[in-house]
Amino acid sequence: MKNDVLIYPYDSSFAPILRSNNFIDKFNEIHLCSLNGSGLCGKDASIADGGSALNLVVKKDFDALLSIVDTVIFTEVDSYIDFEWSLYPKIKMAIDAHKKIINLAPLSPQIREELRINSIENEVLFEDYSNNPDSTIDEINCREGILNINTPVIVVMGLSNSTGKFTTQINIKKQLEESGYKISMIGSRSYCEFLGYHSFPNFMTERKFDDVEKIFLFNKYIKNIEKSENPDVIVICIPGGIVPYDNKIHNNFGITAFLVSQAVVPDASVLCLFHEDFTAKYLELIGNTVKYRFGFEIDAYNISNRQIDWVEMVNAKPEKVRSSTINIKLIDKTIEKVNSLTTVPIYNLLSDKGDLTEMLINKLSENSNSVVF
Amino acid sequence: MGKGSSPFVHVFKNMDKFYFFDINQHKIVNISEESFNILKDHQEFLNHELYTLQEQGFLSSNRVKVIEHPATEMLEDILSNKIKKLNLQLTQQCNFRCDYCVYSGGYDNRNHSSKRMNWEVAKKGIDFLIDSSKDSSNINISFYGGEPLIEFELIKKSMEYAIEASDGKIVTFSMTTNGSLLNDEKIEFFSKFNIHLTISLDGPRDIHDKNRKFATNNCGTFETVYNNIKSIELKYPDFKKNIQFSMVIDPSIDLNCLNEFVADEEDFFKETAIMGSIISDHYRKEKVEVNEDFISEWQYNKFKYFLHLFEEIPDKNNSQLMRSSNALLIDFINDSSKSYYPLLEKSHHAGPCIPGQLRLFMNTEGDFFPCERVNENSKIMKIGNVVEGLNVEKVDKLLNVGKITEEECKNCFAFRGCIVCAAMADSGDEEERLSKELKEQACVNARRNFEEMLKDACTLKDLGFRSDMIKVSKNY
Repeated sequence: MKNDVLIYPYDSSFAPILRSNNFIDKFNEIHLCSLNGSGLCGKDASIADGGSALNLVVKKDFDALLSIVDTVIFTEVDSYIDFEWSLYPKIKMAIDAHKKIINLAPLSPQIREELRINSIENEVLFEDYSNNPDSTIDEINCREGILNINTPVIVVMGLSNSTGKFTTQINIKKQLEESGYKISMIGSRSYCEFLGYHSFPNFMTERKFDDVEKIFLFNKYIKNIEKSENPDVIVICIPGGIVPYDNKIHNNFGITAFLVSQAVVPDASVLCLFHEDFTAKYLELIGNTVKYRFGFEIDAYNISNRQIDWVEMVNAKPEKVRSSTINIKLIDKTIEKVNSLTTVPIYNLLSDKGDLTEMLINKLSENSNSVVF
Repeated sequence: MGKGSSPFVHVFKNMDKFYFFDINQHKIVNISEESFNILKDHQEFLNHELYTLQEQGFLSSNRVKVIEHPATEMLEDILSNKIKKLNLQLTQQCNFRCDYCVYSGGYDNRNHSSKRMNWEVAKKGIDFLIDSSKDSSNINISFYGGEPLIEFELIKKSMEYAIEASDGKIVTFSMTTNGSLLNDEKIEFFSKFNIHLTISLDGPRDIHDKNRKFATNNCGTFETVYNNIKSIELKYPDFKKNIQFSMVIDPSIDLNCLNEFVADEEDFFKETAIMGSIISDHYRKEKVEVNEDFISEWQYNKFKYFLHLFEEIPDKNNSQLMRSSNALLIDFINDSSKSYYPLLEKSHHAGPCIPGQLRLFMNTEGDFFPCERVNENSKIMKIGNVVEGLNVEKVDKLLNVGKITEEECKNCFAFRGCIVCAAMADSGDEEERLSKELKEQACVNARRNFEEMLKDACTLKDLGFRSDMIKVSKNY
């Protein structure tokens, strides 16, 4: 029997999941509760990501909603959250109310352990996806060299954080599966196992390996997935950004993307961008950056429905890139304009214009048709 | 060569040197007298120096083709999702009667009255801010008057409610006050919140009391305000950093007295910023009188500020007031290593913020205005109200104030350094239109100030100043 579920605290971070049938089909009724200052309460859930209507109203009364559901999903958020005040007491409350807990929010090891014990004592099921499981990897054997990946690989990356990589990966997976393909996906978030695919492996950020070892490890990791899952397509979504935003917001200098690009040669690539008043020169610069830094061409751009808040970036000098949601009508207009500036196709996954996945399938088919051996 | 096809540069002389400012590159270039004359006379011939500069990307004739603010098509989104601040006019009453105050009858903006904001209006305003700020992780609620501390109970209620209702955001508070009603009870309450106070203090007793008097007896207010701040310093030393001072400078006073006061009261002004501004002429019925001594003193203090930048004179002898008035110059030098994209086909001059987004002002009755500085009686400045929300069409009109001087703006060298906004083109009349005449007057001032700033930058550069000599502090 399907459960009634409460998602807390709902915001734009969870909206792409809510748009996925795989998720919706798992539950009977879905209730959304947001922090009361989120600006989402009383509105349709689609306000969070600016996409088409989801026909689910975001509410703010956690206590009342808790009483009518079987399961609570605690999520990570894009916005600010006071853990002590807004999250921790709510998880405790849900455990006390004997609800099944699914946790996607980042927790410290101590809190995780405390909640785990608390759940056992209360005989509550506590599924914690916040700690990405360690990937099983063999001892590094550099002498083996880089192993060829024979399955077509699609890479999804973003110029920066918040450019819509997560929406893009969910969409590509869904549409490829609907077209009958078997997909293995490595997602950019830490809780992708909850969604039925792999999270980006921990070893890529661990200090105990140097960069060369990480390249070999990642190559081996993908090879293992290829062998064990035998997919038609492998989709790799690279977390973070590919270039620094400025001297302060460094996006890890795009090192993760570089390591992946040396470990696996993609057959198709998608770059997610903030919405901008694009010029041909700007797009050419981005294309060249990817080409000469990572060694492959961009096959498609996905323009996010967020635009950098330049005023805030200049005046407040925040720790991360701040952006604003913009309407789909403007995105469509921009896509129309940008199509005349570059030969690389442009998409927005919240809009109906164009089909990114169809383009990717065509691209992969072209590759397989033209190569004889 | 026609204006539109000639290099988009502004030529100027400073000391005995010749320069052009390249608008597309946003850079000043030192050139020979010959090159200067070629550019000044719009000659088609380019000498070797200019040809080389053109090869390097300078001297482009690229100009903006359409004046339209880049946020225009996103206005509805921004006003629905990204409002950052609400400034509440809690009351129009004040216990002071300052000669230059906009409420004291000398301006068209407003007059003191008995109007007060009630709790329902304040609450609706806070709800509106939260509801319209999905994309803002930080919001600010500000209290304004009259004198806002007359409504301390409303301030308390509003702050407590805002904290309770804005889980998921970082809320900060600010207040502009005359400081006379600050006491232990209020500071103890404020200490629990992230609030910043801007206190008006115009200088030493004589200068402060010249314009700032109690409404009841017309006596000076210096002693009360000064003692209140001294008391905070003594009893709540941690709170002192939350205070900054606003000094309204009367150009008929002796500027040196003001500077000596700031320098002598080192402890009093320690860790606090001083925002100096000359009595505003804007919306004023009569012009502000400026004496010649004031101008020369101002220039002398600017010179001392430059010496301070070279660390030739200590902090103590440098006027803090000069720092805020030279902030644009410092920013220009600081950003000089950045590369700029050429001007876009569709763009708008610098100056206007998005009306309603950054400093939304709500008066006692719940009407919305772009900020607290505009004329509340002007129909065009009323951009909505707390019940019906913001009127996007009116905001668009104010944002795109450059459209009323479209051709001038397209060829203006101060395009990226402009500080003109719609308030400067507001005649405050009954008709809902901006005044081209007022805008053009503001443009003349903006261009003059921008050129002065370019010349100051050249002077500093000539004397060996580099951007890495700027102290990493707001108090440069």
